[in-house]
Amino acid sequence: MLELNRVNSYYGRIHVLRDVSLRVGAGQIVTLLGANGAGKTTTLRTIVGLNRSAANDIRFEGEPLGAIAPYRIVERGIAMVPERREIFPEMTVLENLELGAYRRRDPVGVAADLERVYTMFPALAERRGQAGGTLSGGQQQMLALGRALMSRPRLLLLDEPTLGLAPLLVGEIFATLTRLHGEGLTILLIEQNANQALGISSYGYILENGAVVLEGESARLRDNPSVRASYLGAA
Amino acid sequence: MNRTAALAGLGVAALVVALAAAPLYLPAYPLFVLSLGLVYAVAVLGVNLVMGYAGLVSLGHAGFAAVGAYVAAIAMTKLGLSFWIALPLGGLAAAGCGVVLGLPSLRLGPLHVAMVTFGFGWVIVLIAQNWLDVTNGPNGLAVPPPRAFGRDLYAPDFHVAVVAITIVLFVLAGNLVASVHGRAFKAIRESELAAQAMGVDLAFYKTLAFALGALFAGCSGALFAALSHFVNPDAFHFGVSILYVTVAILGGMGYLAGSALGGVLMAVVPEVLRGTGEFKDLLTGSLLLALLVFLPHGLAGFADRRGWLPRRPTPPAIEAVAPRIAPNAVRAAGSDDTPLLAVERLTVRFGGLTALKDVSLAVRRDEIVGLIGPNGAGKTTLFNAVTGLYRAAGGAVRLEGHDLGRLAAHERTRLGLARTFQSPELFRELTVLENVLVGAHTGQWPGLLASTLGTPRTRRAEAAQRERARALAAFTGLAQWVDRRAEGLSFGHQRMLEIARALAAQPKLLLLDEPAAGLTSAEAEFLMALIRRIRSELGVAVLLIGHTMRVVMGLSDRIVVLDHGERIAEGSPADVRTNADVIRAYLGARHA
Amino acid sequence: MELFAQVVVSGLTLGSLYALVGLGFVVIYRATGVVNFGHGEMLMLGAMSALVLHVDMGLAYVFAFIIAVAGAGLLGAALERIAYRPLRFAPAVTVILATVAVGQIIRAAVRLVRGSEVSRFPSPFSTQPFTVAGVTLTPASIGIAVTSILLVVAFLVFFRRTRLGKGMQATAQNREAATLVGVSTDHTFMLIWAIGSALAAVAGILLAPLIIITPDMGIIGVKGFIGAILGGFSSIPGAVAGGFLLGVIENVGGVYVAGEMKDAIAFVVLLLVLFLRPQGLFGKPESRRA
Repeated sequence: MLELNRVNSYYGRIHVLRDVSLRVGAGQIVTLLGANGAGKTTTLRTIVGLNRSAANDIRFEGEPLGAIAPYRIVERGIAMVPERREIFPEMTVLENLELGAYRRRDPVGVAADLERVYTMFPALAERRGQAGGTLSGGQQQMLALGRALMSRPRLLLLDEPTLGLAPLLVGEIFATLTRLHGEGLTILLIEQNANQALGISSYGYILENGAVVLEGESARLRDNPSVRASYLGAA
Repeated sequence: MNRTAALAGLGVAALVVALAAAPLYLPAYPLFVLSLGLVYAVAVLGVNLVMGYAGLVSLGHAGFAAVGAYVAAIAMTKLGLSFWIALPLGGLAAAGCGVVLGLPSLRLGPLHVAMVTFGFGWVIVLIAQNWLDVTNGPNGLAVPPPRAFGRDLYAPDFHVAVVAITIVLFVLAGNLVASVHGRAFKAIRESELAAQAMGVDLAFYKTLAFALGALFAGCSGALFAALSHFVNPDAFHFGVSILYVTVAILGGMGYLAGSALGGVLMAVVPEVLRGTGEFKDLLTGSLLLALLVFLPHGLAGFADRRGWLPRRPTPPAIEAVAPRIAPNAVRAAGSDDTPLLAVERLTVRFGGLTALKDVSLAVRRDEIVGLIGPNGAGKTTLFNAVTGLYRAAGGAVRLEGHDLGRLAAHERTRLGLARTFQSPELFRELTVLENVLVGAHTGQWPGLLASTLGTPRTRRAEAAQRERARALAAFTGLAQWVDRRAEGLSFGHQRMLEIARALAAQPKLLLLDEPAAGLTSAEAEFLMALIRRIRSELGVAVLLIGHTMRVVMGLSDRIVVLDHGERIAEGSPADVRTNADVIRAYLGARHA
Repeated sequence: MELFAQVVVSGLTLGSLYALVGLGFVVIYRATGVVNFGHGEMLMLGAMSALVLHVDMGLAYVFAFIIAVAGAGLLGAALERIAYRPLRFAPAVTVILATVAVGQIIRAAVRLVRGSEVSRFPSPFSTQPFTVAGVTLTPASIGIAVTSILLVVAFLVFFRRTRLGKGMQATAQNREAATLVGVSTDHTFMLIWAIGSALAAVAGILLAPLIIITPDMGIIGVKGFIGAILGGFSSIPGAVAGGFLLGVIENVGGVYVAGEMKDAIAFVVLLLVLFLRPQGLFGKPESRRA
């Protein structure tokens, strides 16, 4: 469904992504791992166009994404949950969720999806009139996730959804992702928490210094000492 | 001295002579316009000091000129003082206003400062228009000509005085901007964060910038009063402030020659455009807009980037001989058991979030300590609290046993802490050498007065510091780039520059925030060797944050691990790497 | 006491205009981060266009109003596209200066076309004074106040309740997140500038019967700006309240204290606010560390 072929990305003068190639098949959960600064966030930003040159070969459902303006990405069916949530702090939970559906033209479908999100995240339903900035970190994460789901995406990009969350909430988030996957959503997940991410995904890529150094089926990667070495250095 | 510099010097000398001798060959009115141009140039120089060099905002600069003009005029008419006293009086009165106006800039962002200066400009004009008893309102004040050598100086005679005063002011300004204080201004302009970290007292220098900018404008106002024999509010309205800024940008912000050129243009161009009526304003407005979009660095900036301006000659590159950089032979008082840095149960909170909780760590004199932890663990927060950028909610930071308490960041640098940043915070438009020189800000430098006068002692101090800075640049592998602007360096070199700059502060402890991030393998190797040399040859202890484990594990004697704001492990690299808590923090818990 | 009530009421009328102008400023600032120093000139342009259309060309007031306002809106959008978009990542000072430059260009262009001649604009409402509870009013001043308030309310409804308005809020609160949900920053900014400029033009047209129309009348914009700062630049209701408050302060001060220095009052207020409480009366303080 999503294909990156030897993608390069620059941040000013810094060559942050070097010939990165990866594939996400329809209906899969693929995870992108690596130490901080390895280029994981840059990869997602490059896919949605926040950090991109048209020269990159990125395809979604066969169509190239190269020249599309970032604000049109959501229309193609890709939604992103950024690192650190990035909700709209002065708007209510409901307004945040409604904004997720900004580009949709089917009010009936939107209302139905809103109910689904409320069902999936009861905490949000309870706080629908509260300002986003007053929610706790975990609740904001759910809000950001719900907002992304409101666009009925076919591909969901998640950047460190468990960052800064207590272990209990981490489990909840992963359970939710598994459930969404069960309903047919394709997910590309960035996580520093490698074990959990490898637990729910089918395939994984390890980035180091902007390049893919290791890839493989998640089950295999879990036991591969190179993964740990990538984070903590070789034994 | 190279040829370009010599030619430039000759050119400037010829120009000065031509200007001074103008009464001999220019008719009365053009001579007046030229004098006026020089007077404006002084005010534009004031704007340049505040905006071009220090990077602050002044949208009401004509207000300072008005203060200078009116104070001088009143001194001469109502108090009967001589012009030669009224001039400095006007300048000082304006400088006083500048100090007051500079106060908000210490706490507020550029937007608010813009609004304050804007309001000030208006208020001054309104006062001039309405305080009839003192200023005579819109009718203005007639100003008697200055007297010297027993006669009245009218415009042609006064011209020579104007030239002399202008030159003196420009030379003094030139000395100042070339000195450590001028560099401090530029550092503030480029990055307040880094300037602070290198020991620059932001409050002092921002206030100084406004004071000086106002002083020059005030002198300009006084000269204007004496030249045109008349002062009224019309000469100082908002449009004039904007005109000052426009010609300052046109000439080139941050370049003295630009101010001279701008001032002269400001007087000359309206004369040239005299017949065009309303087009004048349209043109100046369009000019300003066009400059902002297409030529923000002005004419002088354009010339500089093309390499047309003469530069200080580069002495030959020197060897990176470590002994030239005074090693840290100074051992502090206190037993060797006292750690150099002791962080004791440090707690930092942001609103409801506790970023650091009861974190303790110590760094001894000869150690390299690594600080690691997953994303968001609080590592940079720790650095910021230790260096004084964040205030701690609990706990203490001790350097050589002394509690740093609530000392400001720049004061901590003075005591021996220096740091680099996660993304290089360089003074982008300054050269490598100048960046390193700012790092030496906390060293021994001549004071303001000596710097402005350009005494021989000042020049010697400058030369000595320059040599030291060159040695540091060479030490970090930048010998051949010393005259390159920081923004033109490769990323790896930028990281090295940050380290050289931090070393210039002669620290006892160097805090490096992810120094290897973004480096190639070769560059990382160089970095590791450099850090080892810093410890062994310079006697500086190192605390480093890192995610590149090869580097951190390879360098550190000891490693401290943070997670979720708390210390979860400490020990040798081998211990930490196999510590179950650490593995879990990074990789997460394994499912059953 | 009657005098005081009178002064306050007149102040509120004037204040309603300041509120309208201030609203335009804050709308632009909140969404794009730009302080539009050329706002007053847009106000003047609105008044001038209406003058030309209604007085010189004889169009009915309503049509002149609509065309003038729409024109200002289009000009605002064009300015964003041409002058301000290239400067989107330039330092704050550069952008401020650009707005000043644009203001100057507009003023000079109008002066070129119209000269500095002074004109009068007939009031669409009756100017027959009448007295209520000891306070003298005219239908004109009530008409102005009511129209201003209606517009502020209409704008707030648009901003808070419509999809487009919420998109604008989203852009103001988190530009990248707004992009990710499909809000185009470019389009939003153009729309904001159009609306802000239109609001300025409306204020100018409403103001026109009260004062003399010259190319320099944009000075009023500064007062609206100061009112917004007084109330708090970071909050729309705050800025609006500040406008009303400033009108009252100016009038009260002008009658009881300063006389000819009436204009200076606004600037003294500005400096006091910036020195003592920069976030304004109703705004939130800028968050700082250490």
